[in-house]
Amino acid sequence: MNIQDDASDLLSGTHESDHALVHASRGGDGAALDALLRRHYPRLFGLCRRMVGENDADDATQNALMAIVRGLPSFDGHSTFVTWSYRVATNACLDEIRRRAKRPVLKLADDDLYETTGSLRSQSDIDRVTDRIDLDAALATLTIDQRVAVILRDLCSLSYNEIAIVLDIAPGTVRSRIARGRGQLHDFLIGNSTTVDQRPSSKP
Amino acid sequence: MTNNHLTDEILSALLDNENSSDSVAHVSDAHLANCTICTTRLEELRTVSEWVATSLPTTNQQRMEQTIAATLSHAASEKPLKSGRNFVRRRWMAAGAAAAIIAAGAIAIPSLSRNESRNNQASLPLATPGSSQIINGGHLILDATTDLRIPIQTALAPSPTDAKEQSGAAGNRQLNDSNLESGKTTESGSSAESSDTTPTTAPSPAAASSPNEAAPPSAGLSRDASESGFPFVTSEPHARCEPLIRKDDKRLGALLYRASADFVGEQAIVEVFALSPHDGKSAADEKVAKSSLDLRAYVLAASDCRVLSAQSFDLKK
Repeated sequence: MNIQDDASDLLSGTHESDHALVHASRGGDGAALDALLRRHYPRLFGLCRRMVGENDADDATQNALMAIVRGLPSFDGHSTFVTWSYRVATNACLDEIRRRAKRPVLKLADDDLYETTGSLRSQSDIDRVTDRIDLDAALATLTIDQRVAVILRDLCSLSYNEIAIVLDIAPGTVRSRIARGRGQLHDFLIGNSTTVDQRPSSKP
Repeated sequence: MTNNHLTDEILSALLDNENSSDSVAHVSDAHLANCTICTTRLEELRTVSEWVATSLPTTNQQRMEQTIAATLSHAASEKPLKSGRNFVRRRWMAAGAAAAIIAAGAIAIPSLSRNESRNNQASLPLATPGSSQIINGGHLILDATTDLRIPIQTALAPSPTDAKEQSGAAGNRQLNDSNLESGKTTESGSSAESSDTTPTTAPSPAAASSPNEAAPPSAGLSRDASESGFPFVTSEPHARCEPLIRKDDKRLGALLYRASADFVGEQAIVEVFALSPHDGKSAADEKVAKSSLDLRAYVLAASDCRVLSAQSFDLKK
């Protein structure tokens, strides 16, 4: 399942349905709550999976779902349920990360793809790397702030403004974190933590 | 001149169609049309973005079912989703209808909460007969409809059988259908005491006047008994196992929870007991004990009350 498609569907067509399920859930309708969690589980699991890594993904997801259930009475509907639930889940994941204070183990699939200079040989090499490298390991090289921003953008397809709401930061900060995160991921892909060209790293 | 190149911020935002002004986008497009360095960088960032976007692991249906079931069960053990305004608070412990988890024979009740005020009015929802589910992966989910709130003073009360029980060795039980039906077991070849003299639960404060009142193995608790403080223990026909367990484990206090379950394909019963804090403990020990509550959970074969799994817990209050 592509979480982008899933989230897109949710964003485009099921707000009212979400709203109805939220309303019913808040009224004590267990079936509605079950349906609500079931509907949004894949994207929330995807977020948690990439936030905390494979080993802790299930625990983080359950903590996120619990936080959502607990928070439903305070959900005011000012944002979409999707955005709100991402916010709750993100905070749950951050709590999990802080609590466990660990990061996924780095592991590379094929060291032969790297040259001593850190440059990949070609775009086709990049494609090979992205097929074989551990994304968790790559994401683990980012700061938590960068990782969350990149995941919310690229995996969850949130806009910069939505990410700003989720993380309670300025849109400009979102933009910066995503750019730095992507740059760092690319550096990871080419096996070099330093930049390989002379382009400026900040606004001209 | 390197400063003439576009920054990662601009390129990344361009990739996301998130540049804040049309003028920036226009300038960026014009630059990209003539700059292979920035075009290459844009493609690099696009590759990274697509890599993250398309690498989501497939949702595991079984894990989803487990997680949602555990969440719903856990949520049900806490408080209603509705505003708590009309919810009568009282001094109860929630011994979590929360997912009690059995993994490879280990059982855990992860969530407890306590309301602070005292109120012995029985207006909490009474427990319904619980049913439990042991799902693949060895996780036991106690039914969410089962209310496991326990009056603290009740949970800490010694088992009514404690004073009477002798210190007989807990040898291997020899069980058969006839003594199971009558609530008896045979230990080391001798007949054990009948469950007719073994109460199903410890006394509640409200029921303290008759702590040793017998509960027939097939009768379970009456509604009156439930309303007086035991909303969580349901009854027959599995009440027969309780006296057998008590024979083997002299530490057991109040029976706090009972439910049926399927344990790796075998019909089972889950029973959770408070462990008596009185066994050989000093007053200081008891003071310490009152800051936590020791529980022991058993998973028993419904057919013959064999112990399939057991584990103790220390529940902080």
